[in-house]
Amino acid sequence: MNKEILNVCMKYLTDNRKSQTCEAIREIRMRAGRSISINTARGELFMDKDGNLIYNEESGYRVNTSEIAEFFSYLCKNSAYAFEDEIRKGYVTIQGGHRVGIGGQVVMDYVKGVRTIKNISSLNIRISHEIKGVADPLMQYIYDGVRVINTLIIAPPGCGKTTLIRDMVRQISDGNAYGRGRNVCIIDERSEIAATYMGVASCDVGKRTDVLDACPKHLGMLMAIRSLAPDVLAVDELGDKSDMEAIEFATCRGVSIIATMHGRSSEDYRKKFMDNRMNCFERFIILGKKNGRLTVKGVYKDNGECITSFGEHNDTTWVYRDGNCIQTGSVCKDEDVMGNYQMGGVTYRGA
Amino acid sequence: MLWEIIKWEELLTEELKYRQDTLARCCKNTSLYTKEPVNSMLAEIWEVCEEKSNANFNEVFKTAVKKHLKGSGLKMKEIDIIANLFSDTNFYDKEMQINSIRYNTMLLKNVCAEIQKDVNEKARLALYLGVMSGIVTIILLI
Repeated sequence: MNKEILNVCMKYLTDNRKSQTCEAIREIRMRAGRSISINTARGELFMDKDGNLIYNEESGYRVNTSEIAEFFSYLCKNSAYAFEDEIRKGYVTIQGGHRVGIGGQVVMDYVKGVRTIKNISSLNIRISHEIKGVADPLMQYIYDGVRVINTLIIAPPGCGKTTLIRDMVRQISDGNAYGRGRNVCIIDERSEIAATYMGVASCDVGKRTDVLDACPKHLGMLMAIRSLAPDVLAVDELGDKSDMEAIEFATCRGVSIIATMHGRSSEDYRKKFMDNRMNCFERFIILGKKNGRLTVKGVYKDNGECITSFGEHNDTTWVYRDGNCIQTGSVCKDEDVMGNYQMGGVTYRGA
Repeated sequence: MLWEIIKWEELLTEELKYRQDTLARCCKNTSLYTKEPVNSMLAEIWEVCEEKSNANFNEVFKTAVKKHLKGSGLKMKEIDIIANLFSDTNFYDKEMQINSIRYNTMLLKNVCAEIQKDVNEKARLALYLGVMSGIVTIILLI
């Protein structure tokens, strides 16, 4: 693979998590025969053969399948077998908590299901972000006196569910204006919340937080309740009914749950999980995206009553710089959103 | 030395089976149970891979093998077999990765068997020569 491109891509992934470069980049997409696409807060850019970011796709560097395979091998540290189980699910999580989605030809095994993915033709690298303070405007809604309310964060992909739950966990664990510090256990099936690498969390998830890394959610919740005695359990991306069974088990034992799922409204949750089941969640936080920014659409009770709604022109918008939330509230000046940042040797101003 | 490498490859196989860690990490874990110069070779591989995020494990491994095993009495052919342990790998499947290491171990064991056979033949030749020279000496004395 072109060394310049490899170095630039690896720099994006391994750079200081709080640098403006990393903050600006949301996704790196590689597709066989197409230019490398970099999704940033300011839109889609492409990479030329020298690793510079450009607007024109035609001048972008086109990668082939062997280059994609080589890059994937670098991401896996030449040890793809170590990610065998994850590859079967269509992704790997690499150092830093970045998730790499894999496209290619699926090899089936009629006993195990998906055996592996061969002829990898596309990679989608989602850059993990840690933004401290991003949960500030919502913390008041997840406490009922001293108790943490069972809360479900619902949003379509790429709206910042994981970033939000990570900061919520940190604040619940460390203690905040609404409650003292609690023992929290993260069931981090995809190693995205705590971005654990070699057993150590790369992200700040709080001083009273235990992490069960790469553990299936339904098993992890039971293990955590029995062995780690948490006050709060945090799980990312509820997927199937076994997860809901484990959540029922947890709530019946007095453990609070903070979870996320893909969707657009609490109705999606009800359709997916609520056939003859008790509703375990008392709060629903609905997120969305507006002009490329993470916004909160509303916070709802379990009976559908809206606690707080953010109208079309009054969305709560998070403004962050250098990895820290510097402002929350109504929409601010564009250049405050990202500040100046540099990518591939080019300096851009504002978002 | 070859037996030390074979022992390490067998340890590596068990480590992969048990922990399913990355190759660099497995090198570090197994280095504790090996003797010099294999020990320092594995430690160096781990350090380089940790230091450089975009290091290619195969290249790091080859460089370290050639550097540390050069003066160990092994022939170039044998060093090449060891250096190529991970050259055509990066399997997405643990079993295949283990099989490729086992294949390399088998090659090294074959080399050991050949060396052993060679040594045995040389020993037998030396024995014959000793006996013959003894007989000749006795005849001359008589």
